[in-house]
Amino acid sequence: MISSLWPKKGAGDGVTASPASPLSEALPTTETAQSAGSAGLECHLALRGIRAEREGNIVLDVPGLELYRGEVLVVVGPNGAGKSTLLRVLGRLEQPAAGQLLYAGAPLRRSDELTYRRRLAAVFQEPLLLHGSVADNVATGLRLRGVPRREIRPRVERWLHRLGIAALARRSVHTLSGGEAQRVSLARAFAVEPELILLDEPFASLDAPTRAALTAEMRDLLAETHTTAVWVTHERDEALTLGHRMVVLLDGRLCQVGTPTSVFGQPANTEVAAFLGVETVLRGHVTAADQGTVTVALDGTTPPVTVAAAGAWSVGSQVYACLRPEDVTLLTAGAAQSEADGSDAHRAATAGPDEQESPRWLLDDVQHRLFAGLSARNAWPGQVQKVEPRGLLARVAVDCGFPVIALVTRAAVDELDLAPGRAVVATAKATAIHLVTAA
Amino acid sequence: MEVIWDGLRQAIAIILSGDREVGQITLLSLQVSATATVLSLVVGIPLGALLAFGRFPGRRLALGAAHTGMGLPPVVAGLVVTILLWRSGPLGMLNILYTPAAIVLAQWTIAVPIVTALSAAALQQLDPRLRLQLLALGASRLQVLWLLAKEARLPLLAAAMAGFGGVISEVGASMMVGGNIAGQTRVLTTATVLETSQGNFDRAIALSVLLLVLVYTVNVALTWIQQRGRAP
Repeated sequence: MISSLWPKKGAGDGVTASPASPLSEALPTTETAQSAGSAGLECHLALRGIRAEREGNIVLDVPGLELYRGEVLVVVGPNGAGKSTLLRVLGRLEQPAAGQLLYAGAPLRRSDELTYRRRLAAVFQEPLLLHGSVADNVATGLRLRGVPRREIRPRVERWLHRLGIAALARRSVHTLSGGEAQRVSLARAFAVEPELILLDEPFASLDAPTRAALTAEMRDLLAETHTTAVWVTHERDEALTLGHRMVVLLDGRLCQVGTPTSVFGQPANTEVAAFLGVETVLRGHVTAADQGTVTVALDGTTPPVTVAAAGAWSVGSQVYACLRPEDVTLLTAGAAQSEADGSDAHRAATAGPDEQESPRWLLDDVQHRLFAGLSARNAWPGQVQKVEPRGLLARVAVDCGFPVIALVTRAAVDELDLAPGRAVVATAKATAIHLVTAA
Repeated sequence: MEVIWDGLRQAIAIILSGDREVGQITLLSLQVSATATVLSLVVGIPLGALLAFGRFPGRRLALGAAHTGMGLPPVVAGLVVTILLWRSGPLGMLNILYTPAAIVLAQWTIAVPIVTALSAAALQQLDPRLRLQLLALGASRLQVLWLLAKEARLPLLAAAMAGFGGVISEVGASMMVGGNIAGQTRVLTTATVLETSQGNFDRAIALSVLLLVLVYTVNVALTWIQQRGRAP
């Protein structure tokens, strides 16, 4: 598949640096990059001490960041976090106030910038097409590189076919839908066979079905071509599935780098945790530690509440216990019975009459039936405070003496009859609770 | 009114008769003003791009100066160019005062601020991310400028029309640096002033009609280029 997408380089291809350029020695060929990409360890790009400023304010501060050949690095962060600035710095589209961009280990010089930029491509949120036909637009990058005309046509046709827009080749770009225009933008980027592709929320302005289709297609394209990619998104869910590694930027600061699983599972601090959707963050101190499980006494709870969490912490450590809403299970008496009986139902409607329900009674019931012998699981009795619909899901706020947020299906809301005042038990596995050091 | 009608009749007769002097004046006007406009585009569009996209101290002041220059009185431009080209002036060694080249230089001085300010406005109205997109596609700085100019061709051609309109119609600078020498530096506007001052209204009207026809023809041609590919 790769060979059909990546033809051999033509003699006139401007991607190749002139023999005299030091960059030509520093930059391996695309083919080399692909073979190296499979190893996934060769450092493609690196940032050192990067600082970008706007009107005297620091908008990006990255002490160090490596990008490996063939990897997809997802950059997440809220609006204004510096994600797009990071992308521009990586693409040498913006000169930082301080710091270095290293290509294959060597600092990139100003005289090498054009050669460097001709090894990359970018797709922005808006397609940013030029006046003219679809085919003309896909050919733009090739023409800019001085690729011979006889090579341009087959390459353009191949990418128009690959992106499913061959029928639109002669159409004016002004007549395209948003999804079609973004496909043209993708074809234009891939037609130059970049080593590195920069994606700045490329599908954010498209409708949900088109976005899902193009995201899947993009993932396939990157896998097929082994192109190194930096993919900026503010969708946390996308970050989980798009890339090999992810970077969390907050207020221009690089807060965490790691695999999506490690970043989501072990946020570096409470800010990262909050951004990644950890809605329950509780301060406390470790009171006991035993074989990978620790007990944390939560501050300010009366009577004192303890939380079981996984991890190696010393007694006395000041910590925040972070819990994602989707890791919280809400139970009522009937639900506890179902699970204790071995039912497949994760949550079931309560059978208990309202007058029987009190948090303490429920807790005893749940603990007795469900958690006998299971030490590493938490169960907190409480009352539902608020139920907010979130599409097919619902966000449920529960007062357990401390606030707990749970994300449940709308069906579960009906089955459990969740409403303000309803007595429930919020449960969470110890392994779902991530501890971070409290400052 | 009778004077005007008579003038118009005689003007048509002069035009149809193929008066050699009038033809020569018309051709010189077209040559001088077209050259000045083209040269002003060569300088004004890159300057406009610099003012539109550049980030340097004093950019806004320079843009303000360009806007002010759009209203530069031709006689002021004529005075400055005359001083520069005067035998003892800094460009006196060129020895081009009272030649068509001097008129081109004076008209260029008038047109450059017009083209610069309108080019800056034309390029600034483009999506600023388009420039980044082109750079990311591997465009050199010159290629970026060329592609952005193509994208902004409608307002840029309007800038060219405004520049040409400004210089073909001016009289003060051409009179001062050209001297209105018959057969050498006499252009339609200076000739019209001369004929009017001598009471030759028919010839003055003929020259005015020719000036209007010339301006109209050039603008129709530029409009045709501008509107190519668009619905009629």
